[in-house]
Amino acid sequence: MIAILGLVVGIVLGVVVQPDVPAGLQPYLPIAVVAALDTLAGGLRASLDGAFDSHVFITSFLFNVLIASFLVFLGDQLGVGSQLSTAVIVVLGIRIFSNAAAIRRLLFRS
Amino acid sequence: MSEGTRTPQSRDEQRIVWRRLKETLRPQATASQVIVGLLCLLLGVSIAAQMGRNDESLEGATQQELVRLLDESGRHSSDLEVENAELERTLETLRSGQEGDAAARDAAEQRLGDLEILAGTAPAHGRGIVVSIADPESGVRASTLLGVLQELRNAGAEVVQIGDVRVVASTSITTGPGGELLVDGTPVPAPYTLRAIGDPAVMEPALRIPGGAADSVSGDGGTLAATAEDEVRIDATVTLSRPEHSQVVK
Repeated sequence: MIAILGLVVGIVLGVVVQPDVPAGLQPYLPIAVVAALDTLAGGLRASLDGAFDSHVFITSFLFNVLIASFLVFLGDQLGVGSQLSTAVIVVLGIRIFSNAAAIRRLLFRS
Repeated sequence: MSEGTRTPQSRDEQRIVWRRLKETLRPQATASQVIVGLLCLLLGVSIAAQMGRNDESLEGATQQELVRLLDESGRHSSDLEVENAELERTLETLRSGQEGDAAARDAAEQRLGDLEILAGTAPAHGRGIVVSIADPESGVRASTLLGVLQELRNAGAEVVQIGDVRVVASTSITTGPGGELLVDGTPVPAPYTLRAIGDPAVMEPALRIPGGAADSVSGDGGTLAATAEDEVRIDATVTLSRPEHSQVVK
């Protein structure tokens, strides 16, 4: 509940305040957001499975964001930044879809 | 990941899942829940920031996109430069054409002025002489007056007026039935006044040549007096008749 509340409050806050993203973080923010969304979906699914562990959630949240950002950074350094970003986005997207499918099956048995 | 999840088989298991969902959604003030909430808050802010940033189109563009945009704008600007050069050329052409037109019009106007003076359809002014021939005995003949006129023409008179009649190429000087002189059929009473535009320094001596115009007038019993003037106005004009038989050879 607090998580959903935090998400809503955060979006409202962001829309109202319109924070300036530091230039150094700009390439990583979209990937980090997608990674966080993936973790969120995974967390919801785990909680429905009865296997939710907040420590696991927090560490996986931070790690996913960091690894996604690091991959983009590495891709930029190697000169394949846009391709690697696409790859990360595709993988994360697939995971989000599979998590969403699992949640749907758990809740509706179909 | 998907191996860990079983699809609930029975209604009881389903109910357990729904209870778990409710439990999850119930606010719990534990530290880890607060941290999760804070992380989600951060995520929300990031999403909003990212959405806001996407409005500024160029900042999020990749290197390739920027290069492509730069190429496109470069191509566009070179296209525009070519178009600009073409328009400049057109403008130059039009401007020079206009200048040519103006020059042609000036030349035509000048030529019109010359021809009007020659044909006698326009008033003229300039330096020249005024010749007055006194004829107390009415003895001056038409041929004598014609001689005076010819002498003036020889001396370079450009425009001549006898009395109130403009002298042009077709002007005739005749004697009327009563002995009076007619210029172009118009009676001209004595004393006769000839106004001529030309070089006074040439025309005046030309009239005084021994045995010339002045002497002829004296022989007819008249007296000729010529005065040079800086400004002679000739206001008489003739009206042209359209040539009926002749045409310009082109």
